[in-house]
Amino acid sequence: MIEIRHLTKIYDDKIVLQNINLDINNGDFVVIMGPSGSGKSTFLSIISGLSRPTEGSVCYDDINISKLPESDVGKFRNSKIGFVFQKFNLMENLTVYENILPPVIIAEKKITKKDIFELLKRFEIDNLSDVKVKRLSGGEQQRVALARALVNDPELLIADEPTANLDYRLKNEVIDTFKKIHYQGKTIIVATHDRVFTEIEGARIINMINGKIAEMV
Amino acid sequence: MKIGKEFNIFLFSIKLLLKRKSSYYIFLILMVLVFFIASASFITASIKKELILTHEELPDIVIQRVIGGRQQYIPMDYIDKIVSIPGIKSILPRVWGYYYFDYSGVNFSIVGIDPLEPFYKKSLEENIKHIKTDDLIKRDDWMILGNGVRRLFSEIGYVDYAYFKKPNGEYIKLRRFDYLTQESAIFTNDIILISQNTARKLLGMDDDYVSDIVVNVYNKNEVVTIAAKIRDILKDARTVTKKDVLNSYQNVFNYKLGFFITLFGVLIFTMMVIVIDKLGGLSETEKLEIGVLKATGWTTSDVLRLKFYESSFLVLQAFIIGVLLAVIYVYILKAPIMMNIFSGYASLKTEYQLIFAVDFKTLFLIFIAIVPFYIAAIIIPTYRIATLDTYEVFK
Ligand SMILES: Nc1ncnc2c1ncn2[C@@H]1O[C@H](COP(=O)(O)OP(=O)(O)OP(=O)(O)O)[C@@H](O)[C@H]1O
Ligand SMILES: [Mg+2]
Repeated sequence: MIEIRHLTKIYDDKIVLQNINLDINNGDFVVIMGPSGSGKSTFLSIISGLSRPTEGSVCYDDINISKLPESDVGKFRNSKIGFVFQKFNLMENLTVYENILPPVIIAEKKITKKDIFELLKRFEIDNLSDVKVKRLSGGEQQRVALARALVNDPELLIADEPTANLDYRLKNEVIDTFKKIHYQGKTIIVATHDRVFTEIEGARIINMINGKIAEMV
Repeated sequence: MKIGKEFNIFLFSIKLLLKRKSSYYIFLILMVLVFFIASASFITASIKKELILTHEELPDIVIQRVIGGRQQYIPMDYIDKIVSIPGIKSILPRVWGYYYFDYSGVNFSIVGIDPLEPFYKKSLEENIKHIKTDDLIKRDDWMILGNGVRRLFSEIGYVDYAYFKKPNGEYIKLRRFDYLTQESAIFTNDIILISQNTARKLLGMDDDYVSDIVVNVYNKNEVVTIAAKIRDILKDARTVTKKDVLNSYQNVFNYKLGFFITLFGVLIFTMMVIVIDKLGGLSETEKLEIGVLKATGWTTSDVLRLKFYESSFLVLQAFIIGVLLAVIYVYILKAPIMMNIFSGYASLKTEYQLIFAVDFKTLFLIFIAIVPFYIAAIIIPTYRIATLDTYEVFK
């Protein structure tokens, strides 16, 4: 259960997010839609603890991550949240396998090489494990980014424009993947321009305009 | 702190380091710098040690006879004229000179020694193990070779015998009796010890003449006065004191010091360029790496440790390899090219055997000038980026 209260983000004197209140339940599939510049990425970065709000709070059950010391936010994110960036943010010179390692190295629980390969297999990139990421196609890179986000088996997956760089066929693949992950009981929050996400069964559609939200019912 | 986790952070830091091209350039620059300065320091330290070793052996005063600017042989009776000068401890006439070995185009020093003379006997016994000086008295056709000479001779097949040409064109055949040991190589490397009789023959010297006269005194403070008295009595004599010799070495050292300071200047300058470049901001790749690590849950401290391992691995590696290459270059390859800059003071010598001597003070200075600065130049901007809002790093 995530409780977002009075969330506000101000850059210099520009108000990017304005008094957002939202509850997200375990197992929700939240789709945030909205025009470019409306604040979707900023919102995701704050609820994942990648940046701090100017005002307001984000609470996971009883933990207010907006107030947590930096090192604890890291630990929390490492075990509880998987994040997929709009631009993937992969280490281009490293191989697929090496790109999965950062969350694993500092994880509290033990994740074996076998676990990683099973995950790669699930995304059909196990045969690419030794290939440098910069040699991969956009769709393959997207799957590496997803695998990295999911390797520690987090309860929450947050994805920023996960289909933006993909063609029609890959787009459907990624959406299927999200559906599967959701089906396994994980909570998902996606920011997207892509209407296809609104058609997912059981998805909560939230519109964001100028830093304010309105939920479609 | 868990060892397994820490080790994995270390391994990952090396992975990142090795996959970044700029690492190799920086490594190369640092290594070459360390190599040059360490080489210079080794050569200096080695020559210094050489001098310290030979310093003791230098006589207080050497008397030479100079006429018209040219050194002449000295009649033995000069000794009788100075024995009565008070304060003189010992007087030793020396028979020696250079012998041009045309086959190889180099000069050797040939030194005629008298095995009966206590001074020579003692120094032979110190330098050659198990030598039987008595065997030397029985005959005249022996030779004892310095290491450089030994090697040069064996290259042309002179193992047990060697032929030498007298000034009148006749040859004499000498039998190898022994070798000199390695230590203090600069002064023994090109030397051939032979009997005084043979030496006189090869140098074209009459029986009652010597090359120069070596004088040692009781009180070191009287060296200058005694030298003046000698010049007063022997009108055509020139005296060279131990201090004169050491002064001429000193000049060479000052020259080297300038060379050294220049090298060090280059080092400091390069380090400054690297440090300023790094402080100006890490590369985009490095920024993204830090962002990714933070985003996947690394704390600032985790990231700083990773960058610490990364930078110290690179800079320590550059330091160690630079020093090792310098050791190989100086002591195994005998410092070609650089030795020419340094040698100046003994161009007559055939070849150097640089004694192994490490100047730890200079090595430590190089270490201080490079290692902590480089690590700081990485850690400081890393800290700045790692403490930003992670989300900002990707913009
Ligand atoms: N560091 C910053 N300083 C000033 N303004 C910023 C900063 N970061 C974001 N903004 C502004 O905040 C607004 C929201 O940006 P954000 O990236 O959240 O939008 P978005 O909805 O994700 O857009 P898009 O659909 O194009 O990804 C934009 O107007 C942007 O210019
Ligand atoms: Mg965005």
